[in-house]
Amino acid sequence: MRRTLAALLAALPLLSAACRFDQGHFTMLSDFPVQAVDLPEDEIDRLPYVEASDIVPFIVVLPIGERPSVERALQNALLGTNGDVLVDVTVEKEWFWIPFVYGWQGYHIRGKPVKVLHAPDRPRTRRSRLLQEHR
Amino acid sequence: MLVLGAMLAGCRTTEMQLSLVVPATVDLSRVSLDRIGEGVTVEGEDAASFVLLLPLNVLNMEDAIQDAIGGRDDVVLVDVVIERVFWWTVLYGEARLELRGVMVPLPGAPGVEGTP
Repeated sequence: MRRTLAALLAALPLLSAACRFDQGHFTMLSDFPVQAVDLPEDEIDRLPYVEASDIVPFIVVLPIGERPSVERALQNALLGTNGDVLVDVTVEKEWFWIPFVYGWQGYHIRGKPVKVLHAPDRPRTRRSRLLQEHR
Repeated sequence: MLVLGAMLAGCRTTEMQLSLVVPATVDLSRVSLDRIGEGVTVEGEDAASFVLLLPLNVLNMEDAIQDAIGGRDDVVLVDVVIERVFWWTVLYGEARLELRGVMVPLPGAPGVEGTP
């Protein structure tokens, strides 16, 4: 019995699967309204890319915490940068699963952080509100 | 069939909730939105089915966006929500990305149908 259990446990990693697939390419993604980009395009070309993910683990099939979202991956990518939005953005979905035991899934985002002119007359979303409260 | 019905699972989750999505077909130099928010509500989707656990195709957000804007290269989407709808019965399942947002024409672009 113990041997069978041990064999099953040893076989679990062999059943694991992982993959990352494309969710699309975007010229710009923003979690608050934008009036205009604040940089000439040739300067944007020289900006470095940043990357970040929003990953949520799950046990059996139940996620631990909130579902992953593109919005949070975007906010994670912008943290620590001077940018407000991402331009030239690639979004990918990634997941890993040991069937019916454990896994994780989430969104991976890559883009260039850019400052923009804000539209003051529209409500801002979570990240902007958090940043305002922080300041 | 009863057993399969008992094993039916489904859910709806929000995958993306953003204020502005500029599709890849739009040039960045055109993004100057003085009158942001004036547009028309649009919907789009991308669907996939799977047998057992194997997907027959992969859901793609960009496809849902292109479906919503009809392939135009002179509009952006504001107040965009993309939800994943999913159901599964062990043998067969379907998943769908459903997009809802407001399509706003860029300066110089012809207005969208329904725009005031």
